[in-house]
Amino acid sequence: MRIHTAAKSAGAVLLAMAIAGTGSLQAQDLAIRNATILTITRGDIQNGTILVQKGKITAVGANVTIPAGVKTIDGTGKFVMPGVIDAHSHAALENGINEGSESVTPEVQVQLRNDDPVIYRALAGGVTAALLLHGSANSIGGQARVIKMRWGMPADSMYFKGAYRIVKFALGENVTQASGTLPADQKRFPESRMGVEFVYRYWFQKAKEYDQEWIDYRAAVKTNPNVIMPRRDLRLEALCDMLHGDLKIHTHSYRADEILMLIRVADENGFKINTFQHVLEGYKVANEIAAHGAMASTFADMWAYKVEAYDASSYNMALMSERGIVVSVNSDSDERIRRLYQEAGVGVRYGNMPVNEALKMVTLNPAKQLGVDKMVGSLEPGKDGDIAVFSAHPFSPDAMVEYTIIDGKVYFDRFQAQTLRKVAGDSKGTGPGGAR
Amino acid sequence: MARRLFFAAAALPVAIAAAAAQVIAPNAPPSSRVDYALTNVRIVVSPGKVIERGTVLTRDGRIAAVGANVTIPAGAVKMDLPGHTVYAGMIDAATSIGLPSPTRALPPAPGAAAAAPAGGRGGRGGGQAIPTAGRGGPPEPPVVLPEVEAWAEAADQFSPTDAQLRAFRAGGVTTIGLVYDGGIFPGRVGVALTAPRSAGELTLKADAGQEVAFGTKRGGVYPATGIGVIAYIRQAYLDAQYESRVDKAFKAGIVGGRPAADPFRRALIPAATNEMSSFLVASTERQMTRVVEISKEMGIKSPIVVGAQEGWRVIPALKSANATALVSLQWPSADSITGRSFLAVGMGKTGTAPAATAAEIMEVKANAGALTKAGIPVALASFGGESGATFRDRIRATIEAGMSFDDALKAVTVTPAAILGVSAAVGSIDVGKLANLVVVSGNDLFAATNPIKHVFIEGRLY
Amino acid sequence: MNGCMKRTFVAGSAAVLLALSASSAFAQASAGEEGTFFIKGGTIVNPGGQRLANTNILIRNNRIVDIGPSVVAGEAKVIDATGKFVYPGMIDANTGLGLAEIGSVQTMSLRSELGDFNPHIRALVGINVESELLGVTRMSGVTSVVTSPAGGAISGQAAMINTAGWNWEDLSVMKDAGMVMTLPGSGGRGGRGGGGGGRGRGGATANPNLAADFQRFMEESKAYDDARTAGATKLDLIYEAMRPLFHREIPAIINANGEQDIRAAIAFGEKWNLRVVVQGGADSWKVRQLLADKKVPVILSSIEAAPGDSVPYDEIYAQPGLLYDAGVKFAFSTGQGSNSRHVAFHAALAEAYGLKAEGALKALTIWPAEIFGADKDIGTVEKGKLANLFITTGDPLDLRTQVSYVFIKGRDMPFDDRQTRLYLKYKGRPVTIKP
Repeated sequence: MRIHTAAKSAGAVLLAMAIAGTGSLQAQDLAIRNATILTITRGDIQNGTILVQKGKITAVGANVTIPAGVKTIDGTGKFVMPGVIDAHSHAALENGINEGSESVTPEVQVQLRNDDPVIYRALAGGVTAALLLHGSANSIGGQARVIKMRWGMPADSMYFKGAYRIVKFALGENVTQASGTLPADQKRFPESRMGVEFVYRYWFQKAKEYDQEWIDYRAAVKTNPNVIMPRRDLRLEALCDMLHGDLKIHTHSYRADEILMLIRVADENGFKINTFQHVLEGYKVANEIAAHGAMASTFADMWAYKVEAYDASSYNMALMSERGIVVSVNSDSDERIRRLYQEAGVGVRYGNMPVNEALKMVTLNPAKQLGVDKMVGSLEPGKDGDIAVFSAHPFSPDAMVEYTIIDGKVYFDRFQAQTLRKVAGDSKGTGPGGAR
Repeated sequence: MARRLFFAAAALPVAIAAAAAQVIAPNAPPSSRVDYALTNVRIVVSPGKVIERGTVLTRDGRIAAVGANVTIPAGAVKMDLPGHTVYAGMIDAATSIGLPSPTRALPPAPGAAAAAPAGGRGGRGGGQAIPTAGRGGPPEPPVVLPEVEAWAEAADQFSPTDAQLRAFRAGGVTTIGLVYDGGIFPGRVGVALTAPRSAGELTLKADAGQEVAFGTKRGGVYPATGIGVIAYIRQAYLDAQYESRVDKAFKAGIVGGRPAADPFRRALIPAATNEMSSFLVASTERQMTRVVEISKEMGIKSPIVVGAQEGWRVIPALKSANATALVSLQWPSADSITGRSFLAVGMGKTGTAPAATAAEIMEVKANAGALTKAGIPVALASFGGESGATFRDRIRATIEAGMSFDDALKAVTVTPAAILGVSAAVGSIDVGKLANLVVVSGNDLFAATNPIKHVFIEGRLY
Repeated sequence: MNGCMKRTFVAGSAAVLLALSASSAFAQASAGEEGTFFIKGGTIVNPGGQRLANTNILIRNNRIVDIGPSVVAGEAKVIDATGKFVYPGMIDANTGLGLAEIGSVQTMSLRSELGDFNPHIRALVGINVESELLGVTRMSGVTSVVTSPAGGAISGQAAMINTAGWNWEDLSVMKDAGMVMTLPGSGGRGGRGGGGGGRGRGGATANPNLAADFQRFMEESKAYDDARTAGATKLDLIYEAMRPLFHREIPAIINANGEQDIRAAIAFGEKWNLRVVVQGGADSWKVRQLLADKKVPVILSSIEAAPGDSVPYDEIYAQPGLLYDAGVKFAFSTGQGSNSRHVAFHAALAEAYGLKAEGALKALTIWPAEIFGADKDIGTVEKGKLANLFITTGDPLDLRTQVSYVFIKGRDMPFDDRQTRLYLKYKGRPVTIKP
């Protein structure tokens, strides 16, 4: 954390006009009328209207009266759906994504970089909320941040209040290869999936002992005020929070064996896995995942980039979903976060998921995994006014995000945005490239 | 390393008003041989307290008398200074000049790996307890990394060149706060004069506070990242607080614990229990937000933020933590201020960014004034850059950006003196304090047209 | 049997699929079922806009032998495409398919050679027809791809291949589709997406004298070619490989992304009288009129890429539409292998951001065929061409569309790719958990 003096090479123009994202956090009123509304939980509404007041949805339906003075978007021909939620991103973070120096670091928390341009570009893909996770370099990584994409706001104004506290676990190649380039005598345990299992057993045993130490202290201090309060250990405290269910576990996972392994370690130690992330072979142990009560957040079809991803399949979403697992599709990428709606549609192409079930994978289901489904993830009265407006059905080849709205406030507006066509002019125009 | 001239008996910032006699060691070395009488001079005793024409008399390096009518003893060297103004010597509240870098290269530590105790890795139950099965374990860091040498004293390690000291004096700076550049717990903040009474004697105070920077450990050991270091710092405060509990209980004869053989923990006890100030280095909006969060969580009552370059963006947070700011006058480029990319890429505009507007540049320079107006105690500092002659220029620019003259004067005299715990010795032209004086022609200490004519440090003329 | 399996596959009936998964349908090799086929009653959608509703197609000996509403089946096996759509197989214009399998495993990812100048190496001969990536690719309707070597200044010869076949010879559409190269000093906008190629061992090259070496290599190659044309008989296999370039028989596929790199590539082609194809083309919209005037086509690098901070957010998505409007011929490419099937989704993004639907289809089919000179065999559903086509329930760019049949070289391809095999296996696992 050093003083900064050098100017960044800002390659972009400062607009004289204020942008949507700068200004107050104040929730706003907004209506969209005459649109096809994909509510996710209450079917699709043709020629419908959605009304947001003070940041909350107050009405959705075919017959909704818009109060005078409310800013209204004409939704003719457009499709309105809940804002897209990305259940796995490392965008907009700073000062490191992996505290990979040790195998167990749940006391660490990622740090939001609120002015990362990726946030804006994600908004342009309809994304309104995201889970920003620690990396996968260690078996138990750090704690995440759940944010709303309130571009232009201070970092702490972007935190999604009421969301789960979430910690990252990781299995497989990443954690076992973390010290792969070091000389043999400097490698870090573990180097195998067998070792990873022991890391969990070892540390949860320690956590239980620590928990007991505090239970004993609290009992003892009632009768003896001289008892010394034990040392607080942030690492073990975090593990205790996991045991108590206060810190939800999202675990990076690929292969069926390691998924099953963690389920069994969790069962034996009395904690729950909230969500398996990536979970590329989840379809092979879907019964076990469902029985544990865990959810799943996967890639649409990333595969074969490493050995443990060779059995990944785009049918994974459909197979897990069919067995009752709450499935989301995530980006884990500054690129895919711009078109997550398209990734969800891959579940229809491969596995023939019902369209609404596929849409859930980037709306209601990630909301459940982040603990915000009471607030977002579907278009219902009482929920937050977090909305994406598309030019066509999000799975059609004409689908482009035109507006992205959070708490009733427009954070992305295609018609105000600087687009390539605006920069280039038309083909006959005088813009760059139009002439020799 | 007996360079210390003065020691605070107890380094309580709140107890600064304690009698000067207690602060100044009775067996101070002899003063310079010459006493001065500055006559017919305008005297700014302290911000807002002005004697339009009077005399300042020094004796044995102290202010012996100040007033419109002062009897000048025989033997005092008289300096008649009509048309001039004398101010208390300026305090640059934070500089790293003359300090070793906490990230300096280390000499090889032969046998360190073998000698390191089993629990020595980071001192906090890291992964080391897991058997490493004959692979020799993780790479061992040196026994003590300077980035976490919490017991180090900047005043002890301060080793400036003559040229560096001359540059400070040329700019009217007679006292400096010593703050390391980098590390995590690089050591304790000190205070020094910019000229020695006798060879090597510069230190005014060695325990002004505990510095907390937000660097990482080297060599890939925990904490290896900026996210890890936050947890590391929080744990370090908790450990020191625990150590304090054990210490007290042990001294009281209560069974259940005994002090640990851990100099790191012991060194942090005063800061962790608010017996000593915590100086936390933070400049950007988000860095300061983190400092505020840590301060609240760890019960740091009055955190001192060093840097604070984007302070105006986090005024409510700073106030909520009862923070004080050592504001760096190394202004960041207006183009790099947090939030500017909201504007720059917010609309996906192409092209080359224009220079920041005059208003935006002014906003950066107005930082110190804005914080002051908001009621946050502000001291000005050259931290992060060169000091010396440019210090006055930057203060002038700060005033032009909206800070009042008196506020600026406070921010280089009484306020830093209080923050650094040396109010009894420096910061104003009051009897008994060190004769640290700056004489300028004209009235305005900061005006470019008013050259610095004389600088006195502990009564000695430079 | 085969067709039956496919229909049930689309319908998603687990029980039937499970029964079939163990049946002889899976004994069929990935090269596909040979035979004479009659595709009945589908709507043929060809690039260029003409839709032929309710039209039959007769396939024999790898090729389309007849098309029309009144064409009859004869003894051919009938595939009912009523209510469905028949599209020419899609083409991914730059991949590592067959050369690279698992990216993180070095021995399974052999796409580049040592040295700066490798005109003599040929992608075709290194292609593993049993690559699992090929199976997954073809079953989404991508029936042909260009597989390119990478790395060095002259990477080697790309091949246009079908995504199914008995061996690389059978697979081949054009064994020498073009010479992949990266000019010295280029690369100002590299690192975007996976499409640039030229990323082999440490980027283009680490040779500090590359510019001079490149110039000398070109001069020597040209001198050799002149000598050979004049009757010299002594062979040098390296220079010999350059001759088709000078005779404009194959294009120079030049990796170029930045505006200046693209201009340099065009100038290079003019200097040496080569047919140039720009590959990458990140900034091609900035020189679109020049590209159109010079008739230089572009193989666009992956649309699935993140833009730089200082460009419009939609630059990558919107560029194809600008190129189309300016009259530039281009093709889509994924640059890699595992998700070559995404090439349709690349086109969908481009269409959403302004590329006309007819342009999207052209850039997926006939244009890449034309760019590499394979249009006599592939690119449209036409009499006389290879029967490379697929049958769908709708627009293949629409994510809701299902692929029902894939034909490559007149062979009916079974859904037996790695992902489908695993799907069928685990779909058949008894449910022991109540949802």
